[in-house]
Parts: sequence; structure tokens; C-alpha cells
Amino acid sequence: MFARLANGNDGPVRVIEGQGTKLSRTMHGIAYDSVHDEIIVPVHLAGAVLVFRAGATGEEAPIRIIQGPHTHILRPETVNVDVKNNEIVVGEDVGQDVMFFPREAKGDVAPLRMIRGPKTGLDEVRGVTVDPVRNLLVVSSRSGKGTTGVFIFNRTDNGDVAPRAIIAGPKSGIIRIRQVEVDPERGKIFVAVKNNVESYKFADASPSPWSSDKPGFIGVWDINDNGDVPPRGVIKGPASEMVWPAGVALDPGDREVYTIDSVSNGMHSYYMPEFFPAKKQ
Amino acid sequence: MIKKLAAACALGFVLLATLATLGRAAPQESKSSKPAPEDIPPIRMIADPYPAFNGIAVDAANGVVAMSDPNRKSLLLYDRARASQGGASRGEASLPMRQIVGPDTFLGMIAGIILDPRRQEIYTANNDIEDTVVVMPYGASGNVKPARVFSVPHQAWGLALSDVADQIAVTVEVQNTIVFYRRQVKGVEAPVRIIRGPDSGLADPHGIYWDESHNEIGVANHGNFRGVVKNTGGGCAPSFVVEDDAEAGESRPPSIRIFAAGAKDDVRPLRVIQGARTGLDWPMGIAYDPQHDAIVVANNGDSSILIFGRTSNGDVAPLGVIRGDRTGISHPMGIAVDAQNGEMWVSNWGDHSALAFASGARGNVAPKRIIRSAPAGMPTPGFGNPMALAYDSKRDELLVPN
Repeated sequence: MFARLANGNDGPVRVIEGQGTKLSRTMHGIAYDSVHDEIIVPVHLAGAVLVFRAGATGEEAPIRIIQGPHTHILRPETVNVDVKNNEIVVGEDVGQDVMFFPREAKGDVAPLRMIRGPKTGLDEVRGVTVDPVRNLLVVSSRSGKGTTGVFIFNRTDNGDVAPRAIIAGPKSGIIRIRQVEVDPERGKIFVAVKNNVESYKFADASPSPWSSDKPGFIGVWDINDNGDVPPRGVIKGPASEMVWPAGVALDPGDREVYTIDSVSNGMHSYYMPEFFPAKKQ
Repeated sequence: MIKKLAAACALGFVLLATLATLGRAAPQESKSSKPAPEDIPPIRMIADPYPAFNGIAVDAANGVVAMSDPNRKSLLLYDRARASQGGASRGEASLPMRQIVGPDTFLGMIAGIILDPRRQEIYTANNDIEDTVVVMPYGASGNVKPARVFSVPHQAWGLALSDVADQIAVTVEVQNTIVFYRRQVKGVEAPVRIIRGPDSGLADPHGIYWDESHNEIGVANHGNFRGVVKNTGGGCAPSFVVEDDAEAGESRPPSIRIFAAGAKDDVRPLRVIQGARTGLDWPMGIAYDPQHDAIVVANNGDSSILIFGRTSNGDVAPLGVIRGDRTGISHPMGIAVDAQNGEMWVSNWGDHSALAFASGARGNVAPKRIIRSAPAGMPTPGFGNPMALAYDSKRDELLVPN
């Protein structure tokens, strides 16, 4: 946990760490529940979703754990919380799915709903978020053989259902994709378009993290966009210091966008008033 | 980097001032497809410009201590004996003999490191993205191509080498596996054997040592376990079969698991150190100390070094612990034993330093020598390939899972 105004190589103000936390490496998602003041984290390596007090520090145990065979959780990659509908949303890469649990779920509990199957088009789910105003689920999914992009479902969809919209294609600039967030007030989707190289095949070109020819960006789309459409707003380029942005978070009140970069191991804050215009009366 | 950060911040303030002066109108919602000006400097940026030590290895015969640095993506080689000289004891950064860094090196999110004194080669595991082990000659410096690179499964962490078996062992976190390759492996080669399966108890393995004198291998096991994913014929996929207990995720206690060096497949360990008395807490690096017939463990979770007897078994307390404010131990990742000089080296993830202790040290003792990759007291964000973040509006904090 870092102070929002931290800068340079400042250290964290708090750290939740240690075996007692049940955290591990490969935690590729995090969500803050501002209503109940809780933090939700997926643990990929233990097939678990952990919920902590937001003020937790040190080797503090989670207050709730969702884990076990009835959860259907395979490898949880990303999470978010829908405070309006009191649900935790879990996205999986290996499982190629999105699951919804009661926010207060604890232990080996079955999901309320599960979006999974060939009609969904989902492959490696990297980010999930809910627009409670429009009752939509927004999912970022990466695929080596299918579509990599932003998939938009109805929030209450269940089973093997097709998305109502997909933002993907050359004009979108999306090659590799990670975390997504929505600004429900303005109807905007913010996407960490990482565009990193992951060959996983030795014979392929060197996946050097140093000199990417297709650097990533933070892209902003309208919640009603569909198809191969360019982003309506972009943060990208050498001055942005972004190479492979993997995460995105928003602070509409301060009109700031945050990203985390896996090459520089850096966290960047951008003041973007044009992304957060005052809502029209 | 500091200059770049300062420049970026300055540019950010210039941008803000310009925007305020011009009173630029915000684009209307959903009415324009014209992108905003793209190349915008951050107003703030948290990044560590210094190397951060993960793994550590020592070669007494050639007088070298080497560290892996996933932060700046480099390998650093220091003079083992001269580490006590210079300004590190006064808090200044130490000068490495050589740093291997740059786009040609294949170095990325590197973790474990080992040295081959006989052939003067450095091995380091790219834990994420690259999924390779990079082999560099001792003499490498700067932006140079590796002597060899070989592919390993995703999330390789620990490395161990045996001259007797002429093999290299690699731990793989997500696969709950130890994979063995022939030492001269290059490119894509099948492993010569693996240890994996429910009887092995492997679950998120990290550090590994190869004790040739007793023909044993020891592994630091974090305990995070997700059942072996079923192969349905079209690749690995969830089974949807709830009654299959092996499909459930588990958070098991951490452990040290000792196997016969020649073990393969789903084999039971010879001994297991596990339980509340052990004090194990995110055990990372692990090494065998032949001088004391002991297993030494970098216990990351409580910033300590635990020392167990080689034949310890079950829920046993460590024979000794190095912990406390005088030790300088801060979230240790790597540990290496220099039997020739009676020392053990510890790499700190928490504060840009590596420490040399007498191998018989116990308690709250000061290290004999310190190597620093940054001036003392320099904070470290501690990021290692971060992938997500969230904003805590109540505390005005940014949350990063690492």
C-alpha cells in the first residue's frame, strides 16, 4: 500500500505479507470495496480468493477465504467487487471463465453464476469489472487462437452465452490485454493494453522486455463501443514511461489514472481531467 | 532514472500549468473519436532505480559472489573478499566487478542463481514471461548475449547443479514440480526426469539445493497447491467434477522436503520439515552447510535465517535462528553457503543489500560484511513484475499485489 501522493522510489506505507496471510506470488488482481472497507485478492497458485480488512498490515490473516471444490475455482487470475449487487466477480485464465460469488461468501461455496463455454469467446481472462449503472459485465480476455479484446456481457448472464459486444481488432490497438476498470458515471472503460511479448516458444523471436516494438498503453473506450474501434482516449509514448502497463485504476475525484508497469517495475500516476469531465446536468 | 523521474514530474507540472492556462475544454462524452494527446508524462512515478537482490550464489574458489536482480533485470558480480572494503559499511553503494544488463542478455524477471566454479558459468532462471534459464560466462559484462539459453516451464524459481549427476534441477511453482535437465542443455530439450505428484507433496516449490555428499535434494515448499489440472484431450481444462478432491485449491503449511537425489516421478520425500514449531514462513532460498551438516533457509516472511539439522524431520524447531535488528536481515530471498571460508551469504529483497555471516552465527548478530546495491536507507518499493492495482479511496492509497 502506497500513499497516493508517493513519488520517486518511496516505499510502501503498509505491507500485508507472510505465510499467515495465505498470499503468494502470481497475484494478478486486486479490488477495493469502498463500502465495506475490504480488499479482495485472488491467489492463483492456491485456487483461492482472499478478503482482508482494508486496514490490514503485516502477517494478518484474511477475514474470509473462498476456496474448495464446490467453488469451481481453478486458477483465479483477477477479481473485482460489485458493491451495488453485493457480489465478488472472479476471472480465470486457465478456467477461461468468470464467476460471481456472494460478497460475503466464505469457504467452499458454489458460485451464484458462471460464464463459461465456447459461445462466450473467453480464453485467458485477465480483467473483470462491473458497470452497475448499465448492469453490464466487462471482461478483458487474451487468446492465442481466438479473439483478444474487451468482452461485454449482461451482468446477470449465466452459462455459455455470447457477449453482447466485443472491442477488438487492429484499430483498437489491442494485442495483449490485462486489467480493466469502468467509470460508471461517465460510461467509460479503461483498459491496460499491455501488448507485451510472450513467446513461450524458444524458436520465436526473443521476448526481450527492454525494446518492445509495440509498447502498451492505457486505452479508454465508451461502454457502448463494439467491434474494431480505436480508443477514444490514450496514454502512450516515451514520455508516459509506459512499456508494458499491466494494471489500471481510477480516482475520478482527483481526475487521476494509475498504472503499474511490469518492465520498469514502476507505478505511474497521470492527471487526466479530460478523461473525467463533469457530468452534464 | 532519478533525472528521468524528475524530468517527467517537471513535464507533468508544465502540462498541468498549460492545461490550466488554456482552460482546455474536456471532450464531450461519447461524441468524439479523436484521441486525447497521447504521450503524457506521469505526474508521479514510483520506481526503484537501483538493483534489487533476489537470488545469491558464492564461488569461493574464484572469489565471486553473484546476485540476480529482477528489478533492473541484471546480474551483478562482486569480489567476495573485497566486499568488506569500500564504503558499504559506511552506507555507500558497493561497486560490482561486473554487471550484466541490457536487451541482448535475455535477463528479465529473474529469480534463482547458481554458479558453476569449474566451468565459470552463471545460471539464472527467468521466472516469468521469458521462461528460460540463461547461462552466462563469468567474464560477461554489460549488454552481451548469453553463452546458452534453455527453455523451462513457466514459473521456474530455484536452481541446483550437480557435477556428479551432470544435471541441473529447476523448481517450477505453478506445476508443483522439480524438473531435471542434462547440464549442457541448450534450446528446447525434454527433461531427463521430473519429480511431481501427490506423494511428492510438492506445492509451490522455491529454493533447492543438491547435497552430493549425501545424495539428497532439499526443496523449500510454500504450500500453495491447486490440483493437477486434468488433460481432457484438447489440452488442460477444468473437469467440472466437484467430487474430485484433487481439483480443489489448498493453502498447505510450508515445508522443507528432502528427496533422494536420483528420485523421479511421484515419489515420497525421505524427510519433511513441517509444522508450527519449524517457524517456516515463506521459505525462499535454501542451502546445505556441509561444515555444520545443516540446512539453512532464507525465511522471508519473518526476516530470519533458520538453521535445521540435515536429518531433521517432522515438526521440529530449528537448531538456530539468525534474527533481529543487528542482523540487517530484511525479507531475505536467497541464501548461499561458502564452506571454504565458513560463511553464509544472504540476499535481502527488503533493502538493497547482501550480508555475509559466519556460518555458525546464531541469534541477533551483525553480519561480517555487507554489499549494497544502493546507499543505506534508500527505500525500496519492492515491485517484482506487478500486474494489477486498485485505489483505496478511504485511505487515499494505491494497492499493488506483488
